[in-house]
Amino acid sequence: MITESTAQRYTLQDPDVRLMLQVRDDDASAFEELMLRYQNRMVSLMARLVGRPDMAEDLAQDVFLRVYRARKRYVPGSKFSTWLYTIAHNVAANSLRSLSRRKEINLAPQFSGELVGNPMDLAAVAASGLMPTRQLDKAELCEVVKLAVATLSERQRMAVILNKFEHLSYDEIAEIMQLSPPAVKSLLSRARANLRDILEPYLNHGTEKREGKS
Amino acid sequence: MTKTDSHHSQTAYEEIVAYLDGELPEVEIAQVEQKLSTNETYRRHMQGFDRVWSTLDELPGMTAGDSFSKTTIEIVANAAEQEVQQRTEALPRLRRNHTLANSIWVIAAALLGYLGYRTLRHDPNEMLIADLPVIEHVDIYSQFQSIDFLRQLRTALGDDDWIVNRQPDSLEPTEPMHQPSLFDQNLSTDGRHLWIYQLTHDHRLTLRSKYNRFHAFTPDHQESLRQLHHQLIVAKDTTQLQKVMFQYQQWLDDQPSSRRFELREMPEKSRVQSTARQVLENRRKIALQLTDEQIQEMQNYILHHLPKIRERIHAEMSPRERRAMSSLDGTKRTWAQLRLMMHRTDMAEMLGSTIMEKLTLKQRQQFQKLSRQDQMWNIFTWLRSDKFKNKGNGRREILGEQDLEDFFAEELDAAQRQELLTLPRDVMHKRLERLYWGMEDRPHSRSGVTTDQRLRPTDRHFQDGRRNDRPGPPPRHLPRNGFRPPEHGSHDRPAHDRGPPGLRGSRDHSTKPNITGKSTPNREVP
Repeated sequence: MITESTAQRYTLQDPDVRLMLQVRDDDASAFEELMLRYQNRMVSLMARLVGRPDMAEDLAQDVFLRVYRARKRYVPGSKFSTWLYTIAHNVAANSLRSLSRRKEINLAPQFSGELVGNPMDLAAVAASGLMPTRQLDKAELCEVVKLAVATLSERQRMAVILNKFEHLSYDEIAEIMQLSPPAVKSLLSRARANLRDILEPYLNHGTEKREGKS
Repeated sequence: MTKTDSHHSQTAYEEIVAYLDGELPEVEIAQVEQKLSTNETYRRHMQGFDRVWSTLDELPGMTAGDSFSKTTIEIVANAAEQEVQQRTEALPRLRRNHTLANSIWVIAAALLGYLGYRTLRHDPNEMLIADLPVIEHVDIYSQFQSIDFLRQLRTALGDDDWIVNRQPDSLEPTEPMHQPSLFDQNLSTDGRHLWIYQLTHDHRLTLRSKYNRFHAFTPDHQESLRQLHHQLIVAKDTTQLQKVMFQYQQWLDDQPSSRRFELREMPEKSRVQSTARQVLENRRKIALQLTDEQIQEMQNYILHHLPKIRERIHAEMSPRERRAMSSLDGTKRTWAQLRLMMHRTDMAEMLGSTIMEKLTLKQRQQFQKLSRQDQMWNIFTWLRSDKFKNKGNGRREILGEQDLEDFFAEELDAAQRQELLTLPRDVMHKRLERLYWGMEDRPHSRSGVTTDQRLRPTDRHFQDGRRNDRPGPPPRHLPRNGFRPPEHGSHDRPAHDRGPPGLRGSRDHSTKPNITGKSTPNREVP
């Protein structure tokens, strides 16, 4: 239950909240303003969460459409971004479930070469140190990181991306994902441990190769 | 790695990650930094996490395309348009639903309000409905305290009608034919409403006055009346008791208010006895009312035997009495001889037994129950009623002063005369006339009613406008406001000083004062 004082506090502190209140009152220009402010973040977020850049814009549009449809029910109980990321989280989760059902997950459509295959298998190969000893170029590193992120669970991935790229605190992530802050802390530590387990050998190997060359 | 090691490493990882993310409190930051400076392994873990975390920067981001905002706005505009369209299409249905919902709310609220009103309101007729049987019979219920009184009356008087010549339906309850009975134990509230609804206007007014009377009673008295009604309706002999009660009510209505008051004041046993005596006497009196033919036969018989009677009486008279008898004119002499005959036991018995033959069986039974003196009294009354009947010219013979004086002096004994003389003169005169015509019983205790009661002026003598259906004052033992008859006190006039002023203090029981105030020597024979 959001109290009147909480609503007033966020209205005063957050300009995005004020814009959303105008949207609630059917102000189209306010909606456009909000969309322009958040469109890149939303597209980027969706691309990282779902791992399908080709779907990112569609999903981001879906988020904004939901914002518009939910405008009449909006009550400023937190920062606007928190409310927006909550919607984004739901959209992403729905999309991932839908993709999972249709078995259409393809986390690395653009990647060609040795890393084509099941991302978990690829990550295991990377972690085992069986990868060819060679200098990791930037594109390859990007693909490896994508694969590593793809090995995370949906919740871990969501927490990592919100923390790493949206710079949200544990409390904000907890609110978006409807978890407690300690649960977020634990979730993030496990996610980062998983990433380290996958990426560290890869990185060490690349470093050794680079050092050997030099 | 053991489970404990795993737990320790998990805790350490959480600490390192939180430190790197700036989510640790100050105290723990200091602890972590302490570990970093002293623990090589801890430091390596920290560096590993940090390095991997930095590597995530390689994860490519995306920016929205140029057409993103336009497309998004179009999508949202379409959604808005659809929303408006849906809302417009749904508007009539919404309005209808809204109207329907409002109507339902209004009806529900009205229904609820009505039910609440029905539940909470104080029905002005609630007490009337609840106590209807008691209120309807409040007058008669106020006349006795328990149904044993009715049982005693029934024992004393039987189930016959108390008033012999009443109209056949005059004793029925005042309820219409198709009314539910108020003595029905299962009479519902609706039945009581129906009962009231079917009343006539006058009966409703009467019921209203009864309700007011009942309402004025104390709660204890009201409760006692309710208890009385309950006793009556649950009694095994309730039907018979109800009949006795209505007979008693009818009989009471015929009594003057003073008598009703007197009865209420009596103890229950005395009241039963007094009532029974009076009812029985009334029955007897009515039974002994003769037809014109019977009286004519009786008169013919007496006239036929009068010469013989006269001879026998004449033979037993002294010379002075014969001279006195001879000085009377014809009619007076006949009546004087008859009166003398009444004082002769053998002649009275002969006359009585002969006259009985002229009576019906029922009349004969009643006549035989009378004392000889009362038999003679009845015979004289019968003869007098013939004497002054219409003589064919539509006129009735006027009762003269002398007739009354003779009646007073010759047919009443000293005690009876004394009782009459205690009354005011005009009252005594009227009373004497009624006695003469047999309209009232003789002023002595033959029927068990005290002489004082019989001679007491009634409401007929003092018309106070009170109707018989009025209840009169409540019994002395009941609490009430207002006036009550005063108790007998030291300021009351002594009994010997009561009576008409002209005769006060000059009474001599050895003389026979006549109604003109003149004193007449007490004669044994005319």
